[in-house]
Amino acid sequence: MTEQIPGATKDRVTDYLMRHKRYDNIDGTTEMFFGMMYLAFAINSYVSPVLAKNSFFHLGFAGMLLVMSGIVIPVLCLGAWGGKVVKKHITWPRTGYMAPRKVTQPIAPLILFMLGTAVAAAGLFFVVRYARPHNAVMLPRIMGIAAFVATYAFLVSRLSKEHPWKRFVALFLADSLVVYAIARPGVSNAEFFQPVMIFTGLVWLASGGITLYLYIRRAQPPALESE
Amino acid sequence: MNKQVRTFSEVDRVIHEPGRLMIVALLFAVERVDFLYLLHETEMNKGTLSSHLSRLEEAGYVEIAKTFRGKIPQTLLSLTDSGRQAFEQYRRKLKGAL
Repeated sequence: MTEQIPGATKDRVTDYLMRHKRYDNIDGTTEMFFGMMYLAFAINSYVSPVLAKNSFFHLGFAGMLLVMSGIVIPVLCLGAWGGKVVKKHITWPRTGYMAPRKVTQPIAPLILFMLGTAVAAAGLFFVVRYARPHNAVMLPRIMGIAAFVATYAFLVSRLSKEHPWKRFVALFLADSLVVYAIARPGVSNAEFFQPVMIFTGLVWLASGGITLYLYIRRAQPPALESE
Repeated sequence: MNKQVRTFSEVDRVIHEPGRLMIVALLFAVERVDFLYLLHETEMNKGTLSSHLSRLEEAGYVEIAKTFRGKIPQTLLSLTDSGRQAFEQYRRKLKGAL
């Protein structure tokens, strides 16, 4: 059968069904939120060691949670609130309002992901524990950098097809972190990751900021009688 | 009649039209959108989009609500349950035919 059915191919339907995900980051708010998240964790890692040694902030896991709730959660809330403000005052008046559908996700992939992460973490622990000293230091760094770069590359490849320059940002992020890892071999992992998180957060923020700037330049609010 | 051709002849003609298929597929993935969003995503002109939406509303596939965002009028659109079922059925038939 050779009948053409324009607009009705499976690929196009799949593309329409995925549009709302790309639209969610049309203004760069998702990237900026990730940037805030990295910066929040970086600030947290800088603050924790300088708190008084005998204070309750150092009471193991509970203390860690307390510090996190004082720093990470407020910064994340600020990021979420900022994203909503951008949507309400910039995005919706320009290209329209979209409320994503609340779909109950199947639980099996989540359980598989958590199991996979636990197995990977346990594997990494044993590799680091029994590896030679040099590898024990390098492995978490290599995996950390790979995870940071992969997160950016994955998200922008899915959400921003219309921004090819983001591939170069992903390359820039990867190159910079590898050069930094080579240039700073003699520090502890905690000291190593603090600037990495700040740099990664700033790259995410800059990427989101440029996306927002380009969006504002391209999309003008329509005349009031548009509906 | 060939089974594939018969399957094609049975697909929902309201949804099968390319413009309306685009609208229904866009609405299927979301809870609710406004007219401006559809205008931006479909790149249709206002008249064409309005006529497609009227056709879908007549068929009972789309619900249209007129509200205000501050002082600005806003048209909110969502797919009805029968619209969702019709689209799912359309996809199944299309998959079977292709």
